[in-house]
Amino acid sequence: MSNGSSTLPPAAESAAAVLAAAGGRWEVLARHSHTLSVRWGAGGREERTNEESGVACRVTGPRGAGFAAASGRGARAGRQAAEAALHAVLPGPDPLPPVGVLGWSPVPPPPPSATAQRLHEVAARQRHAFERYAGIELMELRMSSGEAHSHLFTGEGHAAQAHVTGAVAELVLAAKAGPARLVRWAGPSIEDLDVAALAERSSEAVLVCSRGATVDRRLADVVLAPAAAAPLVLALVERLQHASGNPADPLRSMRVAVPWRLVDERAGPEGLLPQPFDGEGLPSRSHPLLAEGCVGPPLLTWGEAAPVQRVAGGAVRPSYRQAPCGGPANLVVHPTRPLPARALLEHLDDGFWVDLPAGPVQVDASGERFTLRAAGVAVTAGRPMSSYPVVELRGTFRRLIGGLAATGLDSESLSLAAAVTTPSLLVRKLEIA
Amino acid sequence: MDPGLAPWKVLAVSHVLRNGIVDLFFERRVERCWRLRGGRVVAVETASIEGAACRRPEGRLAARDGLERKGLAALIGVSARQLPPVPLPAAPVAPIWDELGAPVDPDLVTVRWLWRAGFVAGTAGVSLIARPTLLDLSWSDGRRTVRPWPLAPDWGLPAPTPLRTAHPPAGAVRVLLAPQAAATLLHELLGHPLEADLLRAGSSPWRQSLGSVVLPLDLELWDDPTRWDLPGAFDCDDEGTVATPHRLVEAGRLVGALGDRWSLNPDAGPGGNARRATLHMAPRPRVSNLVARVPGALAQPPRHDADLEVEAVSAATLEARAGLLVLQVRIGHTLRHGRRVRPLGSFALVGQVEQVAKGLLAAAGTPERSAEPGWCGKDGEIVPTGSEAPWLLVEGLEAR
Repeated sequence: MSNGSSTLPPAAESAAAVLAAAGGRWEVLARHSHTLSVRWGAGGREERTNEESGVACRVTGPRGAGFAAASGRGARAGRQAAEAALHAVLPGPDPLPPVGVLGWSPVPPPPPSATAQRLHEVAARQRHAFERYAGIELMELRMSSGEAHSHLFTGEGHAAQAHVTGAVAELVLAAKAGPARLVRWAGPSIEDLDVAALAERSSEAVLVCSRGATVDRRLADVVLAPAAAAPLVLALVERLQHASGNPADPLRSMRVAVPWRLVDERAGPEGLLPQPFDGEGLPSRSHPLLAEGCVGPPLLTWGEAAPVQRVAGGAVRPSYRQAPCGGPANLVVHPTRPLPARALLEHLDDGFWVDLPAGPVQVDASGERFTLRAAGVAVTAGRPMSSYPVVELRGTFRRLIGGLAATGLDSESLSLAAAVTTPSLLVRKLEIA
Repeated sequence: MDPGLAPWKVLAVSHVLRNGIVDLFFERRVERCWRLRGGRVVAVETASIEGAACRRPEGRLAARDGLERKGLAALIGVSARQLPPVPLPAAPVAPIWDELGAPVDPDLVTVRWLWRAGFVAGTAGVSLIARPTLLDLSWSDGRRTVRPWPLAPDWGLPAPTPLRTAHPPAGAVRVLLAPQAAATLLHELLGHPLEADLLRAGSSPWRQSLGSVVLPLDLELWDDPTRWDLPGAFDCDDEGTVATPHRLVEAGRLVGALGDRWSLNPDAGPGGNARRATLHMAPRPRVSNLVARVPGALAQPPRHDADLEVEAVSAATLEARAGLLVLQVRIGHTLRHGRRVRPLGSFALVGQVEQVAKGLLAAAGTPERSAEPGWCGKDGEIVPTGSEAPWLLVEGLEAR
């Protein structure tokens, strides 16, 4: 991160020139990312090198506000985005934050991203690490390492830049019997991946849940392993975001279970993707979403927050092609009164341990009930009794908010629609089917 | 031949093939997204995207956004002076809201207009690639559909999701699937598993069954990218092979598969099914539009023979290795004596592929167009698909 003194790509300069000539307030975001990916499996081997770059413009003036984006780093892309934004103006309030609120927060320097050779080496080590697990077939391995540079500047002279890196691994594993399982890992750098630990942990989980019958529908206490907890945490935050638009939504005022401490840690250092500023240039900070027994304020853009005297700083831009919107960026469930894995299971008199999700979280039309398919192990008096290759975990978001009883010590990060870092979660009375 | 293509044909022969490049792919797309609140447009976002990808042997792909000559030359490994102009068609001006013909509906939350054109130069020659312009509609209750634009006036939109519904009792059920739900079932049961990369990798449940009769029903099934009234259409696939309908099932027998050039083998047919989700992804064999016909189908849906009727599904998955098929039901009904007695929603129907195939008991009605399953994902790579299917009576599924 810096104050944006480095050279701007030609696309950003040409966009700025067009917008400055048109008058009014404006903002330009130029982003360039470079990603290396390797994929290995029975169908062959793939290696991908992707460069994604583009420029996005927001404009505002007496006629309203507009947004447009174009791909590329050259001057033509910048002109195209700027002209399209000027033509896309819709009547409405000024969504651009004033220059006085813009800035940046210190963030940990990102580690270097991997070279292709290094990525292949780690992939080979990961494959090798599974050789000692005879009952496990590694069907497919995908690894990526990438970095992104963003420049954000405005017609009022604010300029800032950000540099982030990240790495992900996805493994498709199967025991001799049972379904294929997708196991995910994410970290700031591929060097953070402990291939032996990932092989051991994922092999054990896949083997345990390879055989079994179907389970009868019932309510049970559930320990959600981090891989199953993360998508539910993200779905919960999306539900809370939705609640923020409705003053009568009961979720806004409900009592939150004491162990919850769910925070969007925009500036880090916790979590996967600390960044110096949000999607429209406000300095990054922590956003408590569930903490101290209460639901925290929602994640809002300046345009959403300012008219209702609320706090902004919650904007995200998953891609330069999208206008900023309020949403989670770097979610962290902080372990409170954490328990080791064994102790968490001992809290289950008659419950389930759930891991290895098989598909996304489904939310019903009312937005209240969720369903997640995953593997499960029935636990009685803290002891594993029987396994189920596929169970459906169902419940309401109210239950998820009010039913958290304890957290584990085993925090893991996943790269989903937002970065999510969570330990295992013990939730009371969810439905298992 | 388009005069713009000739210099690329020369370049392909003189340079690309000699330098071990499998193919070069160029794409231009325009996407405009309207965000709505209470039926009113509150934001419009427009993105113009273009770029190029270079595929080399052994699965190596390099792709970059933008069509600046310097960047393209570096990607391909030629000097910028050697590069002819990229013959992609100019993007049309994206429509304004009033030109869109989108439904007036307070529950609509996003409407996306998508135009996309491509150009490929490689071993198969040089080809321009056209696809239908699409409209992608999303509602606040989770409904979503993607259709060719302008919208066909005689093609109804998905019904709203009822809020008050029950779950059916868990266990085996005989299900009557409306055409939209039937299309999704056929996509997962026969479309995906007949993609040549899954067959080659040994992960398709049909890997040993090509040439065998697997369905008791006299079903004919085609993958038809030439159906421009459906969202999965193209005139050439993303490797430049001219689109043709491929027969996959004939009288209940598996007779074909969906192939690309890489997976060409006797099982995979003539290729022509290679699709890229974006230019940053390699082409893979994918379903386009699945078209089902059943000679002698019943005139009316056999409601008396079913326990449940499923009107719409929200998602479906195939766990290929385990042969497990899952339909996530959005709208359903309990049936008694052929009549709907109770609304159902938000439950899963699960079955083993072979049992569900053997459980296809009857078809009914005239096949109906469906934009389902709509956006189809495979390892995170998403392409639009369509279908045309009749009602189907199925056993071998369990309600969960």
